[in-house]
Amino acid sequence: MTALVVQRLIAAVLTAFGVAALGFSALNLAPGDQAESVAIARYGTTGLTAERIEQVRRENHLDLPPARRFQHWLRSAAMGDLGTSMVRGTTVVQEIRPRLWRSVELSGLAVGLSLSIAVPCGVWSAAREGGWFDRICRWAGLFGAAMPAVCIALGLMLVFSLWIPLFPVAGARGARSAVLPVTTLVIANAAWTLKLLRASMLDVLRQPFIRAARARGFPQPVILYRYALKAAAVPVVNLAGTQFLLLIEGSVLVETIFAWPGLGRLLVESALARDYPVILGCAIVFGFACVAVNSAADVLSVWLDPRQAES
Amino acid sequence: MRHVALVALASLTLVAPFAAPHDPAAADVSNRLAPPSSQFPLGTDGLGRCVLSRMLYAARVTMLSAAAATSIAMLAGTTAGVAAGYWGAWTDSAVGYLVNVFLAFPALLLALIFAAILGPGLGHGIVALSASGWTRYARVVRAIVRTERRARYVDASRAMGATPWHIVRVHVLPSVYPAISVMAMFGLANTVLSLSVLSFLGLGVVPPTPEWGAMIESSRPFLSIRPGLLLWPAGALIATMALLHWIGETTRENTRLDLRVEQ
Repeated sequence: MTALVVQRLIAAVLTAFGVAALGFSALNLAPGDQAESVAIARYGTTGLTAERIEQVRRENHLDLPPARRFQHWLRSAAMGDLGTSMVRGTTVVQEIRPRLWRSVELSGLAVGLSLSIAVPCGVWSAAREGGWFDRICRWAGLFGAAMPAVCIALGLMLVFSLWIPLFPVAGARGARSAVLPVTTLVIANAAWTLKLLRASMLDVLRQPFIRAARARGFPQPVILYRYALKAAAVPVVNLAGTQFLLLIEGSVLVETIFAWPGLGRLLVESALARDYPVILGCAIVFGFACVAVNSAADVLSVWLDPRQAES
Repeated sequence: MRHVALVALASLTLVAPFAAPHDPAAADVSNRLAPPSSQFPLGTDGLGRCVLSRMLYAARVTMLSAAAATSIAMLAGTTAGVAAGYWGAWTDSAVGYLVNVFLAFPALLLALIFAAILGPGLGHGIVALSASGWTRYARVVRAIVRTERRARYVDASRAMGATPWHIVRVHVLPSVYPAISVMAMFGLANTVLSLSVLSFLGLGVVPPTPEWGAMIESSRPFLSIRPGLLLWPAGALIATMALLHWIGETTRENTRLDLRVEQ
């Protein structure tokens, strides 16, 4: 187990380095002269002179070859300095920190709610396969997984804030404005978990050890939650990394649609403003989060089912 | 049946110039937000442009660019996968590492980052979508090629002096086709959605170009008075995705592929 954790940790660090390198080299693909765009952002097009562009180039080490520049950037990034926003002049870390917190708030709430809906529904619909509750769950799962998040979000907005004005259309003032964004994320994510858990519960419930537990006379909830769920959770945890990617995709969209001041919206805003240091900063935070969640999911699934360590 | 569906989708790229009643970019501000009429069967949008014509041209734009992005991703991914699976050793490690790094990002987010850096535009969108989509093909192809190259007939072929190129082309690639064709259908559905999302966020097509995601975005100010402006492109998007998923599922059943292609 310790060996596995260490191995995962090394792999995660390597991947994180690759993520940083990918982000940095993608930035070098950007068309146009970076020093010029920084100078324009700083002095405006009227105050633009060749000397100022050269000064910006020297200050930001843009005159160095890309490999040296990556080295510089990596060193300052390791010390928590991701550069300065070209548009607002604040540091990227200052931009990201409050936004990240709002995103975690939104996604955390969505994950908690979708798990507390999907797990009991998945367990019960598998326990009564073919019953009315199972049929509802199957259709709900299909519907939720097939609907694009944009359509769910705009549909909810149309019905619950325009036709029936229960919730605000956009913004982040108070708990009421979180209802629609969280609901969108919950619909999209709970549907996937529900589908996956139902399928794996159906597999597990046919296993001999469940029949043995029944024969010993354990009550149904003990069989379902203590015996079956633990085994059925393995594929769900295995795909937790993929689920997390879905959640991030969803949150970028939902934050943009409902004007929630999170990291996803910051990414889209800076993408539209072509504020490269902020784009890179957001990309790196997202990338690192994904690497961390994937590694944690790997370790967790081996802990749940130690046989996986052998393969 | 699925061939019929596929042909129907493909013909969507052809019909727009003949079936569209108006020029999709012709704005008429005096006739904005008009309800459906005989002249404008689906009404007009916020700039007085014919919604039906825009829908039809959008289908063309979406299908063609999604097909382009999917083909590029498929070609690049298959090449990388064959190289990694066939030669192994450091090629395999390098490709594996690169795939892992790309997969650390959600595909849509990666496309968004590339599109953000390259700037808006349909061409840039296609580049961004193929750059984010090649990894899943590479991973599956690598796994198939690795088992395939140990087959006895590959050994026999090599013993007879066949070149690696011949072995890859004649023995290895045919076993990759079924998996790739199923993945391409799901990939196409994903690309259609991602392209719409990019356009919705303002990072895909540039304004006068009709595209479903861009149409959804431009419907937002008029949502309460003309919900149709949202419902038509959203419906078209959902229907296209459902159709592509259905084609993918039936192809998978037909090839009897027990392949958990992540969608």
